[in-house]
Amino acid sequence: MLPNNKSAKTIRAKGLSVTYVGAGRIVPAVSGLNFEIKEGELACFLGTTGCGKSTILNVIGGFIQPTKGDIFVGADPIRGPSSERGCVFQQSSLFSWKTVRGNVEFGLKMKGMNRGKRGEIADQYIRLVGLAGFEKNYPNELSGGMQQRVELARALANEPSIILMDEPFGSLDAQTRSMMQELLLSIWQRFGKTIVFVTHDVDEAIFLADRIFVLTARPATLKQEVAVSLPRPRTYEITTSEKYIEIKRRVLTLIREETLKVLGAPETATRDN
Amino acid sequence: MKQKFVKRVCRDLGRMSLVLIVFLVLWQIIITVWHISSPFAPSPLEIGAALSSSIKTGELTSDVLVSLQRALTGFVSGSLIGILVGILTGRVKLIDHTIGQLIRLFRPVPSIALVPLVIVWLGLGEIGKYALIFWGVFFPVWINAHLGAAQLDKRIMWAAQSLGVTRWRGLYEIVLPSALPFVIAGMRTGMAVAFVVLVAAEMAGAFGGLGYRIYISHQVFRVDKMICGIFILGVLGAISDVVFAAAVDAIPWRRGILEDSHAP
Repeated sequence: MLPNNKSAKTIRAKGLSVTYVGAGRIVPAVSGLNFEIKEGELACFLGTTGCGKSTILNVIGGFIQPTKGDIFVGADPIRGPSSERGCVFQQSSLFSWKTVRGNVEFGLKMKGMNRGKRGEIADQYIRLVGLAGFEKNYPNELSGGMQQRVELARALANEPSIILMDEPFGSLDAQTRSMMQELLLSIWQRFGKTIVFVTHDVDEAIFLADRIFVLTARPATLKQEVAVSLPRPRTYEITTSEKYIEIKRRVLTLIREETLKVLGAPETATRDN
Repeated sequence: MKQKFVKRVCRDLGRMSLVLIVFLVLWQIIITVWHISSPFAPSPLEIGAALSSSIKTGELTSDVLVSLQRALTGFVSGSLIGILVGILTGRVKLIDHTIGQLIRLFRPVPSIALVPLVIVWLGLGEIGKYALIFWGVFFPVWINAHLGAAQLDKRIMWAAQSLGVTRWRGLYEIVLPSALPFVIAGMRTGMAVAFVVLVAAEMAGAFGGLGYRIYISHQVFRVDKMICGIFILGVLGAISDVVFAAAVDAIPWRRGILEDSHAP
């Protein structure tokens, strides 16, 4: 990726905190988080289950407001959802009443593009994610992996500058997941969009990311930032390289510390270590 | 989709007619074998005779048309307003806390209890009938549209917002279609309620219609004509129910959203 000096679309968070209030309990989800994601970068938030990493993504998406702190894209504070920031969620958020094409062209329809033109563009993206021939199928007729492809195509077709992905491959089987990761990398390399990816899967984070923000257990703060200096383009062979193993050892140690905090089992900890 | 719908309607009505014919034949046999003959328990053949004579005089056709017009007017208006208000109360907190609360207050009142009041206020004319049926249909449609709108996964709404949908357009583009299976279920209940209220209103005071005919026949002990009216009401109710079940089935994306025992 070419470094972009304009940094017009840099995502910056300063002292970001989110606290949920519900059922008489106050749950801090994110606390005093700082980060900066450059335009065109593929950044991963890596954390244990329930650490508040999805909350970070929902703040960037503009779906929830931070309790404290600021979040910016370029110079503009994020105040709500925008078609500049596309989303892919873990559980299919496809419109079940629309066909594959109807889903993918939805953003363009909202922009007021006419039926013929938006259908054409939608079909290009459907082809790009390898779903040519399924344009008229409904989401419930597709497998989980295919549904995630439609989600990706739908986000891409709207041409946002940033794509937010919340464990998008979390519910897929291992083979499908690795295919999807390679597909995502090839698309990212072709379009050069900023991708913010949330996962609890260490291998997924290392394989995809330029940089990994390793998060602490709830409330999420930045534990450590890990630069992934693996060459691109990456294929699955890279996962057995020495460099990869080295990064993985480092990240696993970090994540393990946090997992043990959550489980709170000191005996297990000493025995395992 | 359309073909599937028509096929389904024909199949279900066919099955029903078959069962009905067997039922009537058995009934006739029992009456013939045991010589049960009384004006208070007419045989299917006698009822058939009453049916054909009231068709000949044009009485039945006019009763059916009058009743259908009332039921449909009340049903369509009650459904439309029920859907509109349900979507709004399901998604907009302010509307739910005001109009929604008011509706919850009125909902437990059985519409039949309103019949005398409506006669005082609106008289014996058509407007009163429309109002009563509207009242009966509105609540089940409203509650289902409300629940359907409220159950929408927030991620689907978020996805739509990140694709540029505005709040009010989202109600039409996202909330309404995702609530559709609920809405149809509510309309199905509403249709059944429409017939109940229709008959109650027609019996309490009207100048025509199936409920009126049953009531008037009762006054002169024409049990055969009473059963005739009851039979036609049953047939109309069954047809409308079959049409609704088929409509739900014809939604191409309904699998996984609404599972019912009718699936082929």
